[in-house]
Amino acid sequence: MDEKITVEVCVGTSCHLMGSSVLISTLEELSADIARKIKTKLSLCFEVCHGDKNPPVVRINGDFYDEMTPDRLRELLLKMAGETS
Amino acid sequence: MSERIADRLKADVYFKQWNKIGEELCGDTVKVVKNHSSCSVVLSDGLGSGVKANILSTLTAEIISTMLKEGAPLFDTVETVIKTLPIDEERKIAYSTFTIIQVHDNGQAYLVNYDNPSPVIIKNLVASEQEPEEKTMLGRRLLIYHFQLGADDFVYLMSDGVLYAGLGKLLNLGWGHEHARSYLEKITRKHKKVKPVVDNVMDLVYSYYGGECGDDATLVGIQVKKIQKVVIFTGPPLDPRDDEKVVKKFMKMKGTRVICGGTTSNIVSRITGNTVEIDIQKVNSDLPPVGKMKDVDLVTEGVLTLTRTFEYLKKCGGDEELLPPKNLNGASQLAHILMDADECHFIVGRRLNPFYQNPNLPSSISIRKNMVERIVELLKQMGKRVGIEYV
Ligand code: FES
Repeated sequence: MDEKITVEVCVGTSCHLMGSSVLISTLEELSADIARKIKTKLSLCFEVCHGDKNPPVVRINGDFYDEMTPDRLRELLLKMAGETS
Repeated sequence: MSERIADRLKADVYFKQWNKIGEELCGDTVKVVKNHSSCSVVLSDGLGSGVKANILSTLTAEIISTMLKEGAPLFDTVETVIKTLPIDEERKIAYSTFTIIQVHDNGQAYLVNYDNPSPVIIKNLVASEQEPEEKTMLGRRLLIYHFQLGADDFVYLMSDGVLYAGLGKLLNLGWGHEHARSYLEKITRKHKKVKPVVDNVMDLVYSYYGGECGDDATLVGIQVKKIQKVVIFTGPPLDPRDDEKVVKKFMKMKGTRVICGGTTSNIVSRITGNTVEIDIQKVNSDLPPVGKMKDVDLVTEGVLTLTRTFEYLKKCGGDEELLPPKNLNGASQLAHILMDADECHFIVGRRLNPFYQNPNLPSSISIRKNMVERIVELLKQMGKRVGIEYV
């Protein structure tokens, strides 16, 4: 059975300022193959930016990743998608 | 037994005038007086044209509007002005004719017409026949109308210059009241908004006159609308123990509901159990996208959106047509909502987001409260009733 990978990108003030829209473009540019395995959601703030985590923050299958970059996001997802197939 | 409280109504007024050819001043004067429970409009047409007519009509409209502003009853006002208005000895006509309409916030309308063309009243987009009551006051014949208006009903007042358009030129006897009335009805049905209707009809009048108006012409359009309220909740309450109380209050308030701020929307979500849905298609690097939530009309990010909303409102200078298109982003949506509103209430949370204290961030996002206060100032200048409450 195919479990989808849930990717939640924060588009709140801090994460937006630190480039979350680029992360969303990264998700949109993934090959159809991988995109199929991903469920994307947006959040207006995970409430983790007030000290503990540095924006932009992404939550993948429930785990927070901070200071996310397009490259890191792509790599992470390619790896996870590889594992689920 | 529950009692239905009717929506309060207001009147939007728009008018356009043409001066008689060669005249610098218009001999017709329009004055609008608004107070908390009614809106009155006076249209006065001074005898003759140019400076003299302008002074006469200004005087008449001024007396009427000043008295109404001070709360004088409509009929006392009419009596005073009738007593004051002299009659032209030669022509046996008054120096100035006038129409006054008063629309109350429950939709009751009173109209007094003294020698101007009959008003055109459009209810449910159909021109309606209203039989006036005739009254003689100090030898002058007044026509008095009393009727009920509802949301999106229209009333048009005009000076006779509107009806004379085309006289002896394109149309033998001018286009006349009957024709003007059915045209107004048709155009109102098309635009359902007072400004384009008045502009359109006055353009037609201008062309009937062949660009050379034989008389001053004024058309006043009045559109009855529901009073629009909007309530904006932005920022988490200072004491988290107040969250529930504030959210419940917000969700109970009447009108368009807007949430500005991620943390604020999370608080509302937690207490109402409704989630925020954000459309991924709308993401761009300019402003964060907007969301939707059950029973809330708009959910946006906080300070960046508020700052941009302020800029849009300031730039448009109170003219809605100068705002960017509504669906451009969260700030343009909020700016349109605020411009449409008559009464705005802001619930501003004072809990600070430590992230904004970050010295690396642009100073424009330093304080939410500051931004809200600047928006409130602008809205007040636009004549809206604005309330602000800190939580
Ligand atoms: S704005 Fe992204 S976690 Fe708060």
